[in-house]
Amino acid sequence: MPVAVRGRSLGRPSVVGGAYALPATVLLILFFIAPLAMTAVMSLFSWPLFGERSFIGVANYETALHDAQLHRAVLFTVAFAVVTTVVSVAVGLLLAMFLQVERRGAGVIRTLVFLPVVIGMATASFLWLYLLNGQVGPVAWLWAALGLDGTPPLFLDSTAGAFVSIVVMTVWKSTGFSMLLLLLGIQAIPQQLLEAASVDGAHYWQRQRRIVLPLLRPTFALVAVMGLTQNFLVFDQFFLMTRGGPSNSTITAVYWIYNRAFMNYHLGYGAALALLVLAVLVVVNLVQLRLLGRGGSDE
Amino acid sequence: MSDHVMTLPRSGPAPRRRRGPRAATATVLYWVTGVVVAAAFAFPLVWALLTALKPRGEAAAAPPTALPSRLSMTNFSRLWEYGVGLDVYLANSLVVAAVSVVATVIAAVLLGYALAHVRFRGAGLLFALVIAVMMVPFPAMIIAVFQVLQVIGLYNSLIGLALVYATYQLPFAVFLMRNAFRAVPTAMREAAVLDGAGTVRTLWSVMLPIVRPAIITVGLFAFIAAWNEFFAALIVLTDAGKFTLPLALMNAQTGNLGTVDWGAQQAGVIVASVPVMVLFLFLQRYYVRGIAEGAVKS
Amino acid sequence: MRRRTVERPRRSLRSTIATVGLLAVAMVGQAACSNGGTPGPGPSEGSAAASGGVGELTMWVRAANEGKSRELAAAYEEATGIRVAVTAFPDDQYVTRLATAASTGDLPDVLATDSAYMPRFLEPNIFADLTDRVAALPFADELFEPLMDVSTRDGRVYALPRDPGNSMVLWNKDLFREAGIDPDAAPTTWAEMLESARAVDALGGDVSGFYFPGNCGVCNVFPWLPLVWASGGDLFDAEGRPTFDDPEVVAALELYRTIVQEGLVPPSAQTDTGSDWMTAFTAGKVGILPLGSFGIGTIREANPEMDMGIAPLPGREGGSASFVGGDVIGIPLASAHPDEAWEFIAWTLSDEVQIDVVAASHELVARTDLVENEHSEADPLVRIANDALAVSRTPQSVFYQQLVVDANGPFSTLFYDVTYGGADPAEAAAAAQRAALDVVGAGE
Repeated sequence: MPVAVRGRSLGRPSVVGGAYALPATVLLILFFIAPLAMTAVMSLFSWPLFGERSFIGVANYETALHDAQLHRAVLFTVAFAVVTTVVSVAVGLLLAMFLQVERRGAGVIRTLVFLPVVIGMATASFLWLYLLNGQVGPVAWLWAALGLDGTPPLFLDSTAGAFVSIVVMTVWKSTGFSMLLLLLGIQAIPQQLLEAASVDGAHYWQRQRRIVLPLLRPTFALVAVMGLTQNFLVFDQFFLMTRGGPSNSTITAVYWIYNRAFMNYHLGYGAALALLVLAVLVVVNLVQLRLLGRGGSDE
Repeated sequence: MSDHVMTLPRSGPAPRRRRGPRAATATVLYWVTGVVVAAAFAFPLVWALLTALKPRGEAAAAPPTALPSRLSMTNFSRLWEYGVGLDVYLANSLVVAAVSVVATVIAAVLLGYALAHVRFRGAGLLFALVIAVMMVPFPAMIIAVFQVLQVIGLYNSLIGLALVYATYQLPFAVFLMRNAFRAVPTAMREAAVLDGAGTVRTLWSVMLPIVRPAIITVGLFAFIAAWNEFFAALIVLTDAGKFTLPLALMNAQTGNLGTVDWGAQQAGVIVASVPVMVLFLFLQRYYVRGIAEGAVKS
Repeated sequence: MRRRTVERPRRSLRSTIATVGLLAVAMVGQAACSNGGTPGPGPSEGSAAASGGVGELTMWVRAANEGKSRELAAAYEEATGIRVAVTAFPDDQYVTRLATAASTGDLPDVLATDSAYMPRFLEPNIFADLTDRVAALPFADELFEPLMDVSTRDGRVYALPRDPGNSMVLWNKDLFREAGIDPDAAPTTWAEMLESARAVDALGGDVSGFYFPGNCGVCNVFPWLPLVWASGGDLFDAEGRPTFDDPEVVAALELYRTIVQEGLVPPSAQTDTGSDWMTAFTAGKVGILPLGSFGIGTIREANPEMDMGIAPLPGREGGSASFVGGDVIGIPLASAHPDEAWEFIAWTLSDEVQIDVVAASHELVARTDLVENEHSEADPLVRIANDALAVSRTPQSVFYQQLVVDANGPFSTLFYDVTYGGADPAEAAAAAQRAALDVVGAGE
């Protein structure tokens, strides 16, 4: 197992360390700590976008407890985040295993799989909105080209359809990132281990299960934490493609925050919800890291 | 292997060249799967490109055609003229992305180094705080961030926007840099110390060259994030002349209710994607190795 | 190998410093020469040129009006030498942007906003009182009334009309002819409209009798609400409080539901969030399309041969109504150049501009005395729209954004639930009314 390299520190630790940490700390204080504190304060107020604000203590949090749409949104978001992350990491792993060997074409395929990662989520949403369009999109074209009867399926017209479509789209966009990290995790496994196992009679799948997968744990931890967090904070796709429909069934947690704060002008409530989301993610990630053996983000 | 595809260090037993039916089947399977995978991932972007190259109005044909009847740049030229001109938006996005990259790299390299090799009080707390940054739903914080920018006088400024972006890149960047620094072999560090190098010299002359791939990675991801971001740009910038590309494209998109110009919209998708893709292809080789140093040795 | 690694950094160090240096210069340069005249720091100076002297005004508009606004700005600069810097924000986020800016006092010299939001902006004293200035205008009494009403509070005027547009029902005359219906007769009752849609739909193939975007409440309210108005009902009462369970509201929802259930709209309409509102009609595949005067120019441009009819929306048993929307334009209190801003606004309402710029592009003019002009006379469709201004209304409610515009709010949900969601219209309307009252009760 690679061992963390901690060396002797040079010079007085606290001062030197503090100096190095300064730029990041300044940015952190200005654009994260301060706004977070302000948001926390806002959450204790009734804070309309226009008009008078008033202190209401924890009333926003109490409202959240009874907010049925919020609960639906959270459940939906959890389902989406879990499914998308699992599929994305699984596909990424399969692709990594498939493409780890240097054969002709492997490089091209790896590049193509990774390219969707670099375009923005809003751009990708507009792109897929066009792809799934029943009148002018390629699905419609396929239907006409194959001479099929009736009308092409409308992917976004039902909750299940929308869920699956957007999971597919998000996996398309993010699996390259998992694949890449896992590829490099695999590449870093010392050849001798695998060769020794091969000599001892272990065949391909045994080698994968017994050696490769366990050694990939730290990478899994990184990929899972980042993936789950990002997918839990999903917003763009559902805003741009379904507008939270049909009938508000595909509203996600962050979408609901946006709606409460910017469509309905309840900034204080939005602030409270944001803090709740943050708390949930911190807890979830702590649990995740514990389960995955604390690979990667301990210090 | 060409420079513009990902090349990776060899690992695992080298495939032995075998002849015979089993090898042939395996090869066929490999190619079939490979082509399917490549096609599945490339298809959406290829379709967008084909649509963008169609002549005016053809993109909205129902049922649609796959290939353009003739290649036409009209969608792109209309996009070019949009608003104050696409070149202005591209330039603004470039400035914001560049500043964001510089700020992110400086902050993350320094902090990553300190977390890896300098024991100091509060290191653990600082790292936890940095990681927590990515768990915050950004839309909820934007008003507060906006007010901070106002107070320090960087409101409606590309630099202010870039610094905000840099902050929100820190989780990934610091994580990566810390791991990259940790991966530097002890022997090298100790050799430098024995040579009498202080902390700064060690960092500059010895470590930086080794972790350069990780730095490139941090820079690349900071660029991508800044290039594609929309919401903060909307709230922070009030002057059309300063708008970044995503903001201008969103304006072009929503500017025509009921008549979305699919061709122009897909041209927008291509314009937004191509620069980042080119950058990625160009930097790939560093990028791949960089992640290796950062993520694996943790 | 080690030695090589240590030597190389010297060169890259130099190039790194050079790059950083160049970037620093670029940064400083960018901050110093701000592109639009708005200085980087210093938020609440009123954002016009800090150099003193009015070389420039700033104006904010919705993305939908960006093109037109830039044209006007260019014309003004040519006429007076004063530059008007136009900044547009996406329609969806326009109110958010405005509200954020209002909270810090950083507003432009000239501000345009959708008339539906004006009641909201009247309360927090964002706009300057223009009453006396307006009274001095020669055409003060001819300014389009519904948009003036929405900008007036306690007898004081805070904004002026700009780009009115009203909702209309459009129909494809060729398809009507083919289906054996009189192509020149506008539908005068709901039953007639339904019959015509059925007849066109019966033509078969990929032709549909009717079209409306299934997933866009705010799009549909524009042509749909007049159906209710013409029948004597409304979504809001005189005080702007919601009346979502009004019987005519329920009836109008049932009409659209019937249209969907009888298959008179193409299946793809269900997921349309508004981006395809005109697509199928422009391609000649739809018989009847409730839309607005804003579509005339666009459809003409895309399909010049289209022979279409246009009329205000009919009531259940007769009568007609239209929803007039559009922008209103005012001067924020924070502006440092109110006089110059006023001159610009007055100029946009002048005869030449209204006729030569606005009317020339198939748009409606903001002054009733100019309604009959050479361009509108030449275009029968615009003339009809102009005439309909007389029966056009606009809803006035402080909660319009939360109740109607919000894609997840009570109206949008109600509309979808009844038309595509299979909900019982009366029950759904009652539920929507409760939800609407909750929203109002929760206040701001």
